[in-house]
Amino acid sequence: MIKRILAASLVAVLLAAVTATAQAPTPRRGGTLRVALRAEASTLDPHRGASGTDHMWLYPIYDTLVRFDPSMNPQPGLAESWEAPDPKTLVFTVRKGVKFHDGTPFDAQAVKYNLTRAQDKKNAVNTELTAIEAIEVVDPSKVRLKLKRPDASLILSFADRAGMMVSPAAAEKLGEQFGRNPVGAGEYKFVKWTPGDSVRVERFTEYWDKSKAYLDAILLRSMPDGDTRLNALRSGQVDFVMEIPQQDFDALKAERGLTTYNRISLAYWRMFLNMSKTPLDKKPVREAIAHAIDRPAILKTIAFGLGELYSSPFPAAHPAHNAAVKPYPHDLAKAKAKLAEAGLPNGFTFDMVVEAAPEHVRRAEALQAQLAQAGIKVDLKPVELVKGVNMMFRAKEVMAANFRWTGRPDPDQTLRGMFHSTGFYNTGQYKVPKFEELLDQAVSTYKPDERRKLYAQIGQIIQDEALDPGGLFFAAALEASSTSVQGYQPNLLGKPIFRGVWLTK
Amino acid sequence: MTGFLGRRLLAVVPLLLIVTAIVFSLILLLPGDAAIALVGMDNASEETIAAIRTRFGLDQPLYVQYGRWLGRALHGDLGVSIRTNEPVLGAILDRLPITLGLAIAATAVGVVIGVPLAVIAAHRGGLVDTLARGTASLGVAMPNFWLGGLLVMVVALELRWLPATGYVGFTDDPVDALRHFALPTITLGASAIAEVTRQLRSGLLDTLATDYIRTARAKGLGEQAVVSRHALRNALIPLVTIAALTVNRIIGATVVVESIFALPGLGRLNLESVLNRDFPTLQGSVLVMALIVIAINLVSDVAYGVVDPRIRYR
Repeated sequence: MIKRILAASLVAVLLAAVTATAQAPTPRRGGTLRVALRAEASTLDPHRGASGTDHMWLYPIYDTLVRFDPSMNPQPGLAESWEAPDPKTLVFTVRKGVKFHDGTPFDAQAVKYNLTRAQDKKNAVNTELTAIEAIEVVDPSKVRLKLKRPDASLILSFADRAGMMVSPAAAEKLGEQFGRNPVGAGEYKFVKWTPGDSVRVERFTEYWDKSKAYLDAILLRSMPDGDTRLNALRSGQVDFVMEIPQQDFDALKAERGLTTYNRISLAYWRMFLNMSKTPLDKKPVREAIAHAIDRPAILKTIAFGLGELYSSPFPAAHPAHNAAVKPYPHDLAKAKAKLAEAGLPNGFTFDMVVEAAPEHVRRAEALQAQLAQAGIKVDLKPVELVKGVNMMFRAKEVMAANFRWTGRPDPDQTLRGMFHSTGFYNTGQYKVPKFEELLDQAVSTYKPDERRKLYAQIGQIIQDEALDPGGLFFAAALEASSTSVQGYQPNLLGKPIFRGVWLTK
Repeated sequence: MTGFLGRRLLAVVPLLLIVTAIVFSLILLLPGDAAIALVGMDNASEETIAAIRTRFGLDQPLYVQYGRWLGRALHGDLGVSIRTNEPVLGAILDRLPITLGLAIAATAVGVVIGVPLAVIAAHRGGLVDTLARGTASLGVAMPNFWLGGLLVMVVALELRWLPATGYVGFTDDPVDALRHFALPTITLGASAIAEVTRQLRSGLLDTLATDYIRTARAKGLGEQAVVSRHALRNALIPLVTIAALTVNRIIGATVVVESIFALPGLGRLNLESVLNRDFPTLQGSVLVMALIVIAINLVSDVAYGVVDPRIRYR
């Protein structure tokens, strides 16, 4: 008996040892990581660009003041630490001994130069920094921001484009040419841009944090076509691809020599509603919509099950998620009762724009069919995306739009944009005072725990007031690599960062 | 000859005006607003959007925009890309060699393989002819995107003989550059082979039935001399026409093929500028493509005279 136990435990120990080594091989230095992205960078100047697909090209070249972990919690970056002596003052302590690729030292003065540059009205990124009133250099390693209003979302904005530090000397010297000859303080320095094809960056030997810079170089290629990206991966011409078409993902998982990554992102599919137009201004009507939708069916049939059911505007892995808020149950009887309560026992009709592409029209048609069962008729208008955005948010000529919320680094940006009465995506400027009060409270504190509690309450209000009855599901960010790629960590923002990645061969 | 060239060049002017005017008005039909496409779906203020419109002159009436563009284009300035803020001419010149190289290589493949095929088919007849004609019909009927996909699947993914996608500069590594160019060239060249074979075969058949060929045969010339020295020379006129048409068609087809094979050429620039509503880039690259087509037509007109001395230019 004892022998058996001993033998069994020996096997267990060996197995544990084997799995442990399999899980944590030692990172190896060297090699070039070749990546296929969908869209080419519009510019490599982080402050000038506006395209949401530029980030992957910028991350290797530029270090940010703040970083975020895979769940979007802020972490120290070029700023070692920060504190808020009062809600309208933020003091950042910047890392010492850091250099830009051109040798320019990074210090508080460089931070001031960068933030002032990003604030320029002609830069799209300035909208994230409107709370900043003054930028003061306290000493070479301390910057003080005086704010017009408390704004905790600044911290994660500094983990985004607005916090990417460009070399002041190079930016001054190159002017408009900087976007093609970028100089940052990131792990990799810019080498060459072959227009329409690729950008090559190589390891910056004087990077301050050498612990995770394993690769010699990264080659970022643009390939607009999804099949082309997969072909490049399968034939070994690239090592990593993003934005894999959903329908191909299952087949890819089974292929040998490939690793797939399926990570929920902050982006989610929803119906944007103009809640100031009748009858969408009535809460029971919105509740009827919420209960008429069969979310699990849509996730399964339209998104091949690749995603997470919507319950509140943040996925389960995000700190602002409130687990107590459950998805609306699919309940036709309740939906009809709510319509009757609103004085619309026979239902009503509203118009909805959707991007005119098969995958999007399919999703909208599924919604249309489900809502019809409760007596709610949807007049679908498939249009080109930019036109649809215009019809919904600028001309305000339709009542709904079935688009994707692309997600933002900070929860305040998401909630303010879609539900605050000043938010661009709150088409009808619909106002819920209690929500706005809590939102302002949450953005006035810089303590993550306090913010988390407030966002949990806000999540409850959003459901209680039926502010987001058309939330459907969080999209999965689908990526794949060859098995030689190790150490890649997907993040909730859905924009790959290759810090810590290494190659086995 | 000089007079002929002068008149042809003069005729190019109204042609270019028409082409550019059509492209300008087609832009009107494109849904979406360039300024909004540029700032993205994001919460850009009305001022930001208005500023972009003013900067790119999008707030002006279309004929004013066109006039301004034309004025600058005459000075070699094709404007600045809305998406990248870079000069359009630079972006086009970066990508032009790839597209031209691809078009020339594909046409060369068409001629080098198509001519012998046509000669064999016309001369042998029977099963060989049927086979050649069948293959040619297939080649004409196969869409580029389908053939390209098939080649990638078989040659690149299954057999692993050639790379599936990507681009390597010729000066960086000539051998690797050729390997990367092979599949797109075959994809574009397949229809060229087919076109050349079909047209030249029927031209040759017509010529081979003429009296002077019968005379040549009667005076005891060998078949090879009859075909290559007498018949082929006279059947070359349609070949010049076909070659010119093929180059023009291939330049259009690069829009699809460069995307399949991830080649950074002019065709993909065209496609991307449509997707990004980057009107200055689209306008510029269409102009350059039109110029290329016009130049090729001019060259083929001159080539007629070289191939057939009976043709005189007045």
